Amino acid sequence: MVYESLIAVVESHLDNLTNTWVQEVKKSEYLETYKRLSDKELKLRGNILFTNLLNWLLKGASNDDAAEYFKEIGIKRIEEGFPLSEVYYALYLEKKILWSFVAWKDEISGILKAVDAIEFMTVINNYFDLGDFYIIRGYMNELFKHLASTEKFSEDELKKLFSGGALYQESIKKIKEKMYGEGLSIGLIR
Amino acid sequence: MATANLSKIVEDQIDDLKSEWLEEVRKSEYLTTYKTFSDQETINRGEAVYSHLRDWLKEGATNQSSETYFEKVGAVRFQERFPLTEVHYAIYLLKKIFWNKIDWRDKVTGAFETSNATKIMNVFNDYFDLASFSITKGYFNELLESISEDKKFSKEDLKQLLTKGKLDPEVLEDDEFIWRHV
Repeated sequence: MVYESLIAVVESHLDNLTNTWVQEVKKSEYLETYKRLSDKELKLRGNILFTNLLNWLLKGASNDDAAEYFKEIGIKRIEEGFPLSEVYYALYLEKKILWSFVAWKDEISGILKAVDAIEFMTVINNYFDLGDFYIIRGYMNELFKHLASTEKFSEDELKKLFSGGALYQESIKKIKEKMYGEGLSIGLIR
Repeated sequence: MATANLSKIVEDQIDDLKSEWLEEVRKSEYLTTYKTFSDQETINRGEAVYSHLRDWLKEGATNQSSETYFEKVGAVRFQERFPLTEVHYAIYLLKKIFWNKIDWRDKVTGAFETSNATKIMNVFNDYFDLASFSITKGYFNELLESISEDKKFSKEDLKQLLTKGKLDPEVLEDDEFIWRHV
């Protein structure tokens, strides 16, 4: 029910969602790099954001797909020279706009009930929280590789900059399994 | 009403919030850096986020005060050598724990009213989402600051690394090409 309704909202308002995102980007004091893009490019990126969300919903909201997609976004954005905080904020705007359209639907039609709203927000939060996570991972991993390739940092220096923990180097292959397990246990992944 | 509702949760349920946070950290395979702290230190860190939420709500929930606070958190976490994803995961857990404490019913009518629920969600999400955003800024500024101090990696190197892509580097000002506070 919630997935179908979300699909309907995104499908029927794709242009509006995209245009609103573009407007918000242009208004934002945080998105200097995005604002350097042409209107056409900005609109294309906005459209891709919402289209990917739509595809994710249509394909059954697979967390594997979302993780792969967002990891790629993180890698691409560092290659393009975007600060990570801007990428994060652009995604935050997408979420805000999507939510405003869901809430707006309620005001106009009165269809949405409180319990549905809570369920909507759970799905939306799951998608974007997972997205933030994998964007950061893709971005940081790519930054690590860039810096390592300069050969200006020793292994110890890189380790100091990019704290190991559960993220980098030998543990990188295991992290998806770990996240998946923990995501299941706390309800991030259904 | 939404801010009062959320603020009251922190005040009434702070002990539960703290203990659930500690429990989540302890059972998480992912929060390896947090696990190096004592129980009390771990609790203190979770409590700080909730206490700041309470104060932020009482002060009118303005983004600026939260931004300053969490940028500093991000910078400190970098100095403490936390992976950024781990800090985000911790915020995510704190958010999730708090989400489960919210009573979505309207305080006056006692009913599940959509307008009440959406207002609470807006405030709730703004706090935690902007916290993650500001932490990212603070963390990255600190990371880049530490690279800048390393004489082996010059400003020009950074410029080449971070502006080599699709965007035209000609339009970027030398003095502000990247990593200033956005």
